[in-house]
This record gives sequence, C-alpha cells and structure tokens, in this order.
Amino acid sequence: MNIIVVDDHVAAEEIVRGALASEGHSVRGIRTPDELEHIGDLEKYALAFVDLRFHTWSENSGLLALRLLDEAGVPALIYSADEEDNRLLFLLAAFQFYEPLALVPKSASSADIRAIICTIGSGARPDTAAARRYKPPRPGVPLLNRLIVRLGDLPLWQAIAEHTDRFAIAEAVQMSRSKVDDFLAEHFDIVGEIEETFGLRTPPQPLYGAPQGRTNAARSYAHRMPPLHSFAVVHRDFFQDPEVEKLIEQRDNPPTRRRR
Amino acid sequence: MPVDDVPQGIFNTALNAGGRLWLAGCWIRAALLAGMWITLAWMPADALPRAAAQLLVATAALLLAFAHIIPGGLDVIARLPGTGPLARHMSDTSGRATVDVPGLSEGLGAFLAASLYVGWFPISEMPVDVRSAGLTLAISYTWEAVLQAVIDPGWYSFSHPAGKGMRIFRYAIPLIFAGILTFVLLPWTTVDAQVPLPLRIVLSASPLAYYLAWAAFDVMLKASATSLRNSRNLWRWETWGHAHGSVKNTLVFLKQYVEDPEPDLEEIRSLVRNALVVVNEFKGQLIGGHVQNATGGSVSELWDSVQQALGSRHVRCVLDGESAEVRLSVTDYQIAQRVLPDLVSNAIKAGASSVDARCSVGGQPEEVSVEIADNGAGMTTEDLSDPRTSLRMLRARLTERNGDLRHVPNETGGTTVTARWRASRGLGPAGLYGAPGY
Repeated sequence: MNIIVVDDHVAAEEIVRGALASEGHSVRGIRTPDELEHIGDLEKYALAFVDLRFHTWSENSGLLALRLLDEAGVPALIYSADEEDNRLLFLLAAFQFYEPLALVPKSASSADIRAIICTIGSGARPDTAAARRYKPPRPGVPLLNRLIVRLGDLPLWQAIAEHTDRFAIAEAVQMSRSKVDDFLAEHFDIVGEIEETFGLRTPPQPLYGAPQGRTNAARSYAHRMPPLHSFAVVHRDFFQDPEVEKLIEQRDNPPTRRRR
Repeated sequence: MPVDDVPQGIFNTALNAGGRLWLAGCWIRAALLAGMWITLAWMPADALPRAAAQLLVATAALLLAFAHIIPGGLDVIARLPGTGPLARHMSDTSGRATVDVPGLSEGLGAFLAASLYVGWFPISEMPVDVRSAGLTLAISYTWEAVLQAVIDPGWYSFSHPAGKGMRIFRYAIPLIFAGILTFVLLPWTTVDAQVPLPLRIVLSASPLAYYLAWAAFDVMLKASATSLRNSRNLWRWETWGHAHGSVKNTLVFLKQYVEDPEPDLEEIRSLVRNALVVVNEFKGQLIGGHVQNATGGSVSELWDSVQQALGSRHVRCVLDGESAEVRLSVTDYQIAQRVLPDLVSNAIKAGASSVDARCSVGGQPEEVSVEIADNGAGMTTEDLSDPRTSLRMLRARLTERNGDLRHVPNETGGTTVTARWRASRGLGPAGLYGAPGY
C-alpha cells in the first residue's frame, strides 16, 4: 500500500520505509503537516504515520495533519513519543476527535511496525496498550471535555500559562477575578486526575514557590494556582494550537444536518 | 537553581531601575538647585557671599551624587588629592542600604539651602514670592534626595540584606522627615511668617507621599520580577521542546539501530555523527541565532555545526561563498545533515589537511548537489562499498531519492566526492509533490 509519513525527521520516514519496504509497501515522507495541504492526490495513500509535534520546522501540530487526512479519508496512525508529558493532551485530542488506528511509539522496532501494518492489512484494527490509555471512556465524559469545558476556557488556560497572578490573568482575558477563581476551582480536580491517571511528572515543586495566603479564599486560590500554572506551562503549545480551538468549536457547535 | 527566584529578580530589577532613577534624580535636583541659585538675584548684595557659600555645600554634594552614577565618576574622585578614602567609601556603599557621605552631604546642603529662606537665620530682605519659591525649591530638592534613599536598591539586596534597625528606619523616614519639616517651617521669625500657611502645611506633609511612591515602586518591582520568572519558566519548557524535537528524537532513532539484533555499524556511525551535528545546531539555535523553520535551513549554519561536531579545527575546511548563501528545504536540509558530516569525516580519515565544500540546488528536475574536494590519500570505487565507512549506506539512501554518490580523483591528489539527490522543496505546489518522481 502507499504510505505517507508526516514527521519532521527524515530518519522517521527511513525507519518506516526500512521496516516496510520488504513487504512491498511504498513509503513517502513529508516534514510538516502544512505540506499535506499542497498534496493534490492525498487520497492515493492508504495509510499515514503522523507525528504530533514539529517544534523546529513548523508552528502547526499533528492535529492539523489528522484533520487534513480525515477530510481526504486517509486512515492515520499516531507516530509519536508518548512518554513525553507535553504530548498527552495532543494524544487525548487525537483519539477523541479522529480515532486513529493505533499509537506507534517512536521507540517501536521494525518488527513492531510490521506487525501493526500486517494487522491493518488484514482488515483488523490493532489494539495496542499504548493507544488504549488515550481513548475516551465509553460510556463516560472524555477527560478533555472536562478540562476544556467550553471554548472560552482556552484563553484562560493560555493566560494561566503566562501569568501566576489572578489579577494579571483576569486582565489578560478581560474577566472578573472571581470568575478566574471559579475557573481554578472548577479545573483543579480534573488536572489532578489527569496527572494521576497518566503518571505525569509535573515539576517537583510549583514553578513559582510555596503557596501563600492568609484567608480561606486566598489560601484556596494560592493552593490551586501553582499546580494549574505548572500544568498550563507544560501544555501551553496545546492550548495555543489553533486546531484545538477549531476542534472545541466543532464539539460545542456540531454542524447541523439538513433534513431531506 | 532556586525554585523561587523572585527576590533575586526584584533586587536585579531594583538595581537596573535604581541607576536610571538615581541619574534622573540627580538631574532633577540639579534643576532645582539651579532655581535656588537664580533666587540669589533678588537677594541683597551683602547677603550673596553667605547665600553662595550655603548653596555650594548642596552643589558639591550633588556632584558627589553624580560621581556615584556616571561611569568613571568614582575614578575622577579618586584621582583628586586626598580623596582616596572618600572614593573607597563611596565604592563600598554603592548598592547598599546604608548611611554614606554623599547622602549626609546632601542632607546638610539641603538644610543650609532651605535656611536661606526660613528658619532661625533666614536672609531677611527678599520678596515674599521669591522666598516661597526658593523654599519650595529647597524642600523639593530635599524631597527628591530622600526619595532616592527610600527606594534605594540596597533595601532589596539579596546578598547584603539591610539589618532590622535599618528596615525599621526605612518605615520611619517619611515620619521623621515630615517632623523635621514641620519643626523647621514653624514661624520662628517674622520673616518665616511671610510664607503662606497653606504652603507650609503642604510642604511639611509632603514626605508622607513617600509611602505611596514606595508602595508603587514595590508593586512594579514584584510584577517585573514575576513576569521575568514566568517568561523564564516558559522559555525552559520551550527549549526542552526544541531539544526533544531535535536532539532526543535523533538519539531515539540511534537507539533503535543500536538495539537491532544485527546492528549496522555504518548506519550507527553515521547517526552518531548526525547526532553530534544536531547537538551543535541546537547550540547554534540557542545562543548563535541560527534559524530553522518551515522554509528550511541555511547551508552556512549547517557547515558551522558540522565543523564543530567533527572537531576539524586542525584541518582547513572551507565552504565556498555561493554555497553559504544556499537555503535548503526541511527534507533536503536533513539529508545534507547526514551527507556533509559523512563526506567530511571520510576526507579527514583519508588524511586530508584541506577540505573544500560546495553545495548547490538547480537543474531540471531540480537536484541538490554536495561536493567535497580533499587533498587526502584518494579513494577507489571499492571504498564506496567499504563497510568500515558509512558511504555504502549513504549511497543506498541517495539512490532511494533518485540520486547517487560519485568520486573522481583530483589532478593534484586527493578526491572529489559528489552526492546528489532529487530536491524536495517542501511547502507549496511546486514542492515535494510537484516534483517529478513523487
């Protein structure tokens, strides 16, 4: 089959080619998700390997690649270093919104890659333990839906990554301080749950020192702010990704279907 | 590295702001002092020597204040006869919250200047308006000088924090100063009484405004230091993201080859060199301003990284001028990232003392060409298949990209090796998928 690898490293393309060339598959690679927009015959590919982050070479994430592939009807595999903390939200979004066939870790051997492609070739869906962790619970509310309850949460997460003071956060998003406090209270538990579920290694201490505060309200705020700020810093690229904004917008306002 | 480095940031910000505030304050006081000198025009001739003598104290003190801040100012003081101890004292007290000679001199000078207009021995013959103006100038001069003491960077020092007594004194400064002014501005003589009472009240209470200035200064310092810390934290994570994208991924791929049941030493050798180049590129991006983005990277910057990675300083390695201007697409850049170190490394292994590199993009269909000419021992066609080099794998990789690897002996000795492959321009309809063969 024709396979396309969307990864900023030529080496990733070569590893996939090395693993699959002997099986008669044709492997081509592109370095950034942006390049997918310029491929006229994307439909000719039967499968895509998609990396999630393109630090040096592109501002866009793998979520753009997944959308373009989805629109072209090309099934995708996530090909990413899933052990990195800052990939987590991208992975959750990928599995919630695009249902990729599998997660292939960057550390996967040639044999692992061949086995996954062989399963797909036989018409089955590979069920890797790595991917299972990120699939949304059925039934249940996806973690991402609890983390980003509404579109307006994204600017707040972006502001929390930049600032550690609720005055500054409130000013940055043009919101009252009490609403910022409400946001922190509303999201404190889900952040803890995500970190615990995925064993995230958040910075051992809050990035900006010990909590302070005298009154109960201030203490609550002061205790919530450090871990949420640390979390927002680690996942800042995700909260700033324009694709995430599109996904949340579509989730909250799904396109209505015309009745015939 | 401290987790909470805001106090250090506050001190650094106070130091950075302190110098500028001090210089601005010196000029403001100079203007106020000039105004006081002008009031001498309305004083009787017999009072002028005394008035000038009193104002000279403040003038000398102000010059010492300028010496504190202007580059080389303390050196000028030190060169004057008999002023060595003063220069040393000023040098020792700079940046600390303590009492120093310039500060005391300014205090004395301000007191003497103010006593020209009010107090126990004012100059009696002077228009009331001039007296009020002179008094306002003198108090404003003192107010500004004391403000510098209230917001002195020394109060925020991390390494030499002010003692408890000094900290209490800082809180008391506005009250003490207001008390002194109230006392001095009492109508001690009939001359004093000429100054309107509301003006005397305003001037007496003016030191209380220090609390506002102090609070505002502290808020700005803390906000500035907090922003700095937040930016640094974000920068750390972004840097890690870039390090992961370039360095760690390269090592992960290398690990896979190393852990292969039948590891290919050629490939591993090549990947290790590639990893070294990537590390040096990362350094270039962090501190050298090297730019890699969606449009690709520069051959000149890649060449710098290759040389640093191979430690080839003892060999004359030169990239020609035209090649240095070439920018390669992301894919071509990464291929060159493998090709260049492999070819240069092989030239050095062949005993070359001189290596000349060229890189060009052109032709139809468009190709990238990398040429390495050396004066080494020369090579044979068999060398391209020698398993002790990485050239065999390199040739195979280039063949996959519609390219090849060729070598020709140089007339004067050594070899010229040329690597070619089909260019991939990446973004845009004329890019990778616009090129024939894709």
